[in-house]
Amino acid sequence: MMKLSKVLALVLAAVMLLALCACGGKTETAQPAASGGESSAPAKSDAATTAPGKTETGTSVPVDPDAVKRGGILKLAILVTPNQSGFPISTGTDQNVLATTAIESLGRYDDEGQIYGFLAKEIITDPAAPSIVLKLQEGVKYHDGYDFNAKSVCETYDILLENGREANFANVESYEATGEYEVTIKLKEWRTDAVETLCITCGKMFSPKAYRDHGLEWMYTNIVGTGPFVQEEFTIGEKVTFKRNENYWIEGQPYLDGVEWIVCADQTAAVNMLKTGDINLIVYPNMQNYKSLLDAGFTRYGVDGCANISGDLGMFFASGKEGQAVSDLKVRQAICYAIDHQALCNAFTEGLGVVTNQLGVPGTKEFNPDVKGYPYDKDKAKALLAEAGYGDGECEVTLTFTPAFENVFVAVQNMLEEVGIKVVIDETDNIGDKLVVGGADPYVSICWWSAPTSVSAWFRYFSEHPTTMVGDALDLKEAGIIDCYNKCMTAATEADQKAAVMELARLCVDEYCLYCPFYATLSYYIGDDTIHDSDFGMRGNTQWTPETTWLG
Amino acid sequence: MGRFLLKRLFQTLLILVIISLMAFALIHIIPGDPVYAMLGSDITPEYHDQVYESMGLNLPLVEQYFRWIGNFLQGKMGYSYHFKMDVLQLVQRRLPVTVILGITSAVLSVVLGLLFGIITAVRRGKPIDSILTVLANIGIATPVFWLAVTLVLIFSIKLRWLPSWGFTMPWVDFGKSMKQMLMPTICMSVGGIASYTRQTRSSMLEVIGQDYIRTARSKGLKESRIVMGHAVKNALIPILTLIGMTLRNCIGGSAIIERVFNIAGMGSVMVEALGNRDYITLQSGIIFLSLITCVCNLLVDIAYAYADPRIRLE
Repeated sequence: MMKLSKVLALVLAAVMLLALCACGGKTETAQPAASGGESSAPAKSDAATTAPGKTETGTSVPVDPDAVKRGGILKLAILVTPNQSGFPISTGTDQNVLATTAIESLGRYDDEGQIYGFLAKEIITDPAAPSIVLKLQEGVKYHDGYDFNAKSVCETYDILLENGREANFANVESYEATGEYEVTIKLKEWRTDAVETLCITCGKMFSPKAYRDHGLEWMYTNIVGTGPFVQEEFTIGEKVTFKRNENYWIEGQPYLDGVEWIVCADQTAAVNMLKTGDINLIVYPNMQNYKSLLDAGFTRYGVDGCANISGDLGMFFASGKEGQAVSDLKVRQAICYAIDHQALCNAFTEGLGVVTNQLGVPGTKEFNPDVKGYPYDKDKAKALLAEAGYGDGECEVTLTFTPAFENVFVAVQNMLEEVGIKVVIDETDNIGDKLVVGGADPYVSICWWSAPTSVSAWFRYFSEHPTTMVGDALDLKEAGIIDCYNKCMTAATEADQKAAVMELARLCVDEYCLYCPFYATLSYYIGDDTIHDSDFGMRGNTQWTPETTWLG
Repeated sequence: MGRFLLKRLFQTLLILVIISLMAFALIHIIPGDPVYAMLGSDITPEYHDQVYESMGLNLPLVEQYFRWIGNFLQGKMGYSYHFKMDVLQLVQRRLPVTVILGITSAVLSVVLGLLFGIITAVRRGKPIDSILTVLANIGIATPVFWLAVTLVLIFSIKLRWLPSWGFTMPWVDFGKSMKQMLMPTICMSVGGIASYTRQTRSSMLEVIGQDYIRTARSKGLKESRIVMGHAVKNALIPILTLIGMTLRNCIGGSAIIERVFNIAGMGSVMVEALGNRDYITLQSGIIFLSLITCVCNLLVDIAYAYADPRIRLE
């Protein structure tokens, strides 16, 4: 009997071991090969400044009405818990994608990244005045029956101003309804981001009546717009569902019966749901899951390019306080030389990231190819530290980051220690208060950072009234960086703007070494091959066209 | 019994006060700002201060504590800034999911665990004893998350027999509910079945070796009557303790299971509240779960008296 029990125990242990080994391998599920829908192969990052290219495939709007199949519920997995609609408070990109199901903007991006009118059928700019005139679509109503017109647009702007969005309107002198369907916006000066700010960033039209009737708190979980789908349910942490808007202003649309956003706290659960056919698409999976799904034959939606760049991951130098090592330019440069960007990108983005040495990303208009940056060179890093008066182990910095990027910054820590820099780790769940102006504690010298890559979004760092701190290592005004940024935004011609953007990159990186971007992280949409004409990942990070989306 | 209950009530209140103080203090020690967690870092400092004040976070900690505890005692568990609803409403929504899952797995654990434990004790030394004991050891050693992922891989992805996620109330769609509950319940029960099996076996073996059992056998009583009528009852005391712990887990939920199967229960509420610095939900949730734990412990203590009249409560 003893022998039998021993044998049994051994057999069962062996079975368990085998099972554990089997589970360590790849999970393969036969899926239909990518066929319809909008798909393209992602660009691989194989050199320090590989440009993400735009691929040729993909159908997009306008839709061929004969090809469309009506009906069905589009099911999407969102991997963050949306707890507010984004209006009037701004929110993360994932939640913006969700809200786009019911909220439409005054303008949209086209293939070239330019803005065309959507709810505003015409956007007339006059840089000389300077002003913007919006001629609005007629016959549009919000889901609560309120009329969309010039008055409602002005009310929406009022509400945004009441709710902490002053920075977006800093350049607006006035706005008024100059006709039932005409809004005239007078600017203080012409800025190249004016249309984007007023028609996209602050151009998402939620119902001002809903806000006035119910208040801000109610708006967090009630998305009332003009869009093709009307919110049915918003249960935080569970799901957000929409049903077809029967009174949608574009005749014959939408094609779907509804859209269901399912909140998945765990990415593995979302991946399983896609594999079992319970959902059609995952929004912004991490790189590992994205790659495994792509390898398993699922369809990537979108094209490479600025549309799917979610931001730069890197770090900024947070402290210019006397005595802090990073107040010395040579130390900042040494730190940058010590970091192997390519190795980080390869290790943490499955080779799908794009290495960059500045905020702009190769292939985009913000990227300055003449910026030398600080290519990986340990010897140079050590030499610079010595010049700054630091021997081995004498230079100490504090590195702050969030747990989500622990692996990356532990690697960074190791790289810095290899050149003799002592690193104190400060891992925090909530980094928001360290990112705001004046928010970092004096001891924090290097802070994790995820920055947008388009110049129009950099107002939070380089404007006269920055909201988010970067480059506290020196006075940005004295360094000429704020003036340079203002030139970017007020340039009269594209050539002037480009020159200013290039100069900004040079100042921030080569001249003053304000920050150290590692690589650009990309946002992907991946799903089965049943989604058509959705525009996911085609133009603009959060833009898609629910009204033309169909399943088939 | 009355004096015992009063004494336990007083102890419970004292425990809850201590827990509330500890929970409040620990939560406020965690670094991070709840306003930035809620609204992101792009807001202006002025707006941040405005929202901070509206949430009452600018008040002295002592005042915040007494406000919260005062409201809690009146049944107002506070407003969750992350979930955008009253905490009581949130608990009412999420608790039934966790309780149904928890109770189902608890019942399965107790019934199967007791059964296997009795079998292994009565059939000590036989092949069935070896098999069940080894299985119990495997059950205890198996990580829940691994088991969950493996079951999903086999039954949802490969075989497409069962859904990989979600929860439906049984009275809404019984068939769908059963399918969705099967794998999470198995995952939550495996450890419990194993624990009950081992504990029951151990208790039963101790009892079966007693003189009165020998006496009962020598009097010619049927084996089944001896086991069920005499042995099991006397072996119940340590098992009751396990049952108390199992009941507590029913209410607290399993955050891991809820994440893997994407179930919106109490476990995920607490994890999300922690990650998003939702102080009120965390504090109220901790007190609520502590209260349930104290009640479960009290019920177990009362059950001891019924299981074994020799235990004096007064």
